[in-house]
Amino acid sequence: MAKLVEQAEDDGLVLRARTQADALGQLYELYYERIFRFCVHRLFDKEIAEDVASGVFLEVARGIHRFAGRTEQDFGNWVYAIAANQANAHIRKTLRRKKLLAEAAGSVRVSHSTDNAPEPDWPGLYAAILKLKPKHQTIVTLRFFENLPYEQIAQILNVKDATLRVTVHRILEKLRSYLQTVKDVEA
Amino acid sequence: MFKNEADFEKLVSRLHVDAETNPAHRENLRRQMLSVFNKTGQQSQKRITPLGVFRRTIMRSPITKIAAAVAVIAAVLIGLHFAGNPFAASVTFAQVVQPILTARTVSLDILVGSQENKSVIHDEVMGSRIRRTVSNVQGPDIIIDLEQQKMLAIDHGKKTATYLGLSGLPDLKNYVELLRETITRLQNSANFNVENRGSEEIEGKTYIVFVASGDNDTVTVWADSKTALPVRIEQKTPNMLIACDNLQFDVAFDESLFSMEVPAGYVVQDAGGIDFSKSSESAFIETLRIWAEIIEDGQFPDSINLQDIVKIGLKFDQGLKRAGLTQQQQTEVATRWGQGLVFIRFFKGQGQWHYAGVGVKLGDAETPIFWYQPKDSDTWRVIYGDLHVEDVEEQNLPGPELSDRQSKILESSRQWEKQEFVGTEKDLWHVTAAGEIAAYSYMTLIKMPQDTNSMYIKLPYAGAVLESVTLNDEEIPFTQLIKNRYEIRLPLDKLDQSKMNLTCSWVVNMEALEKVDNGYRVKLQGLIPVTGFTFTTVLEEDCGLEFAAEYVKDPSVRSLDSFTRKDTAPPAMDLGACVLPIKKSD
Repeated sequence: MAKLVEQAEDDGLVLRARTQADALGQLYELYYERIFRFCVHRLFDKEIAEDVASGVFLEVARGIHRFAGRTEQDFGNWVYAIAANQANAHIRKTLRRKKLLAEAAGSVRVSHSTDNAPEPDWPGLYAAILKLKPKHQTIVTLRFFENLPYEQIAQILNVKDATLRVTVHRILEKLRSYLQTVKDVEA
Repeated sequence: MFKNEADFEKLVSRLHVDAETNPAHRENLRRQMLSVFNKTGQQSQKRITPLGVFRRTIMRSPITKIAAAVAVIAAVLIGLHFAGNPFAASVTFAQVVQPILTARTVSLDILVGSQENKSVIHDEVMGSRIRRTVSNVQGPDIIIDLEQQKMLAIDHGKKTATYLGLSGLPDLKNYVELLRETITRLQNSANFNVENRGSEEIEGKTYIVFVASGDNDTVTVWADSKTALPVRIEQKTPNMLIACDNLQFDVAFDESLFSMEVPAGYVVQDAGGIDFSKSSESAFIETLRIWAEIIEDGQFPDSINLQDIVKIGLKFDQGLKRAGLTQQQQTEVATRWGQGLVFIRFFKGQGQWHYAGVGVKLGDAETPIFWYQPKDSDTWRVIYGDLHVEDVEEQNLPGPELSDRQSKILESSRQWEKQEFVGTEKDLWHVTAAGEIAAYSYMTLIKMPQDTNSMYIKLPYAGAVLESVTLNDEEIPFTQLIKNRYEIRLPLDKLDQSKMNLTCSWVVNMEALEKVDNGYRVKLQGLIPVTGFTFTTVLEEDCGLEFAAEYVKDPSVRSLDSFTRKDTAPPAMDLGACVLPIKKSD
């Protein structure tokens, strides 16, 4: 038979949340902060992140009745997938890329390094991230800002673990290339 | 500049973004979310799926998911094992069927469903192996090895492969072998009747036609008049029409196309298996649950016949996507769904099973959806909409009204598929101050059948309610079958073939429409199959809405023609969707 870890870990909370508001409320408490943080890291504007997070949980409320997952992890993967889609949709709608960049630049504080490493050029890095495909931007956020393991990101984005690792490698190469080009031009 | 992944991690870790949550937002959103949750639960009856969008997406994107393919192919395999039917013998008939008995390889199309709306299964048969494709399932190659009792779905594009076991069937046969066996058996029987219908000309070619009948089934064979080779075989049962078309014998196939080996470097998944010997009520209940919850978005299907199963692939795939399952879970769900079908296909109870789930929501504890009498039992098992089961005395079984409603629902689907009633339609919507749409569908009938005056219509929205029907300005009666399906009884004595103007007046709440960025998405749907369709909206003065400025320069304009289509061929009900560009008045 197909391996289904989820069957062994059957979680009543998610099943109850399909029909019981208090169970859905508990899941909300578990995930609100994580999803909000993901939205902030994706959009770098707390107000917009609140709007997008609202959209995410309202979609959850509308769809949980027919959600077929059984475990908390299924639920988490589903919520992150909705959040990734909604954040991407927001970025697609935001035509003023400069506004995004300005917001991102102003919202980040860079801590000092103890090993004399060069200071990260955050606005430049974010500009480079914005040049990536939306899906790749999501991967950067989930992997490096949210520190989620590869396995979970693969499940959220419905890709294979190995494919994801290769994709991350390519994303970093692209970012390096973008940053190097900017550096060369400035020099 | 970072050097590697670890370096990039360090770099990002030095970036601090203020992600402190706002307790007020958190609390407000929680309240809002639970309110939506409660409302959605209570009003699930009114909830609609944007079918127009859904269908267009499907048309552009055929199934490539292995899970859906596994489900459909397995279902087809299960279904076709019951397709064996009586053939009768005569010298000429025997001559015609001879190639079926002796061919080493065969290529054929199996058509399931009515002529107008059929699914095509293409089989290439070599020994115990079948290479199969289904018209609405694209992507993976499917090879079925009847000897090894295994199925392989292989996607060379994505380099993935899935094995599904097909155990427990003592006598697995492909369709051609079934025909062979049936023919051989029946050639020795004198109880069947064969009628030579003489020749028939189709598209310039002449065929000899034989009709063999027995019990409730009829089998018709068309054979080439010159070669005597059969080119088409059609089987009719009370609920199903299966036809084999484009039969070719002893085709020189490339043997490698039938290989059950997966090339190196492919990701291989084991989808478990369907055990044909395990026929249980609980597995069937799980199938019903998956059907309602995942495939049909919360309600039971109109029917569970083979022809509907074959067409299910597209819905299955979309349902799996909606459910947010991983690929492995999708395959597992497809297998579980297929396993439960064994219960009805290999039915071991007394007499026949009965299904009446059309229009019933999952969770409805009051309405029976399926009942059957187990072997050696005095009572019946009745499955209800919440999937609980009760033992019921025969005199307490669901009344004939449920079966009657089910058969009318099926009849309505058939009528639309066969395009028995065809017309042109002009839809006029009045958006009222009460937030309702008062719609008028003006239809001119251009075709109607001779043998019935029952015309079935389907309003475009689940929450829409039919208020009146007039024929040539005279009101006529109608009855509701389920939700938005109605039966209209046309008064035979008042039908005037030169003047067949029918007006259906119906209402729907604005909330039923899907809100999009620039207005509302509207389903463009004829109430019956139509060859022409127009759609006009009128905003009533006090409705508080106006058309978006980019569509009408003058805000005082209150009427907009949004859609016109003429000469739709073949006639269709679903014509897609358009956006109604309205916004709140400033």
